Amino acid sequence: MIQNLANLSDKELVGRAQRQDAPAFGALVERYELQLLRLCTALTSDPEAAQELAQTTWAKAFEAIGHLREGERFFGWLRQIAVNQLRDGFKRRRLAQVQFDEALHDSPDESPTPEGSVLRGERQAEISRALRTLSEHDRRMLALRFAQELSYREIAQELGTTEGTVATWLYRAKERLRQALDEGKGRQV
Amino acid sequence: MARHVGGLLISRYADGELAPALAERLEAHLVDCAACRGRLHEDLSLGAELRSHFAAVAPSIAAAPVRPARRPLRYAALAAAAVILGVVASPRLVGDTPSPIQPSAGVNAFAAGLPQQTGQVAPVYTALQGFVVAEGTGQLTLRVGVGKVRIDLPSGVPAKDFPVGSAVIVRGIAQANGNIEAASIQSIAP
Repeated sequence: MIQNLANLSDKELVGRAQRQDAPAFGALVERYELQLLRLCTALTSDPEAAQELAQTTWAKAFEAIGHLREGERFFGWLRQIAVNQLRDGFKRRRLAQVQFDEALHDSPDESPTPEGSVLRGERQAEISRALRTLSEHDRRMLALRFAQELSYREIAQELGTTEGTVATWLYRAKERLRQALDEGKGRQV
Repeated sequence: MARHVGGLLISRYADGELAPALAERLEAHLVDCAACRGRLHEDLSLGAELRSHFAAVAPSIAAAPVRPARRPLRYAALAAAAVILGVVASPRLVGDTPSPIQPSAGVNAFAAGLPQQTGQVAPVYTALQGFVVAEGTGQLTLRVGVGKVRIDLPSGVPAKDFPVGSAVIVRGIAQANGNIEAASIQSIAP
């Protein structure tokens, strides 16, 4: 069965997988297993973390395959899932750090402590302060991308410019925000 | 890629906006370059924090991904404002309207993206939340949901108090020209 499936294109396999054809999804796993693992190793540099990231990525891909419109771009889609999983991992780790800090305050129950809220609030305030130091243009770029979740193409349409220009503007806005956050930390030390 | 990769390339990759061929080359480089991997992790981490920040300060906006409007933005914005955030009908109508349209009908017309006819749409009291995308004299332009809406500020309230990128809550009256005449405006972030 897999032998026959191996001759099918990504698009055909995705189409079958979207119709609950488990062997078709299995053929996609077989086709991209190593490539995804290499990608996850590149992203994490840690074999164990890479393995875990790859597994999570496959699980998410299985759940979400029904939403994939361009089956021929399967690996690009898989790559984005892996990168998103990594990003969410950073978010979870930051949350875990706050919870750890809360635990240091010996909270008797699991409800959010005032200290934890303060830590979260402080970080929000740091970001707010840093955003205020940016130009209107930079703030707008960051809001379009990270609040509105627009793609580069959509931002380019919105602003009447090219995707390349959007990439540059967004990169500079992130750099300036990072710099403002660093300067803010420097002042607090 | 023996040398370090440019920050722009890493930023595009983190945003999922790098062409597949370039992405593969970058990944091949990341395997052996801890510095570039570190930069990528920083970029991803910053993106995660910004998403959390915007979701916290303006949840109704950040939670609903939007796409560029495919019909006149002002109508779409009012539709989003009216339908999502709730509209309270004005107790009175303006103009000579032989067969007055009920406020809800006016809202439905906005929702359908239909061109309005002057004098036939009642003003509606509305509350909306959005991001400032432009400032002008006595005016702001907000992004709300799928579109934009122009706010006429109350007299004496300077537009510079609400810088571009900040989130605000506006309460006021939707005008027949599509603007909202603000009775009150409150900044919620940053």
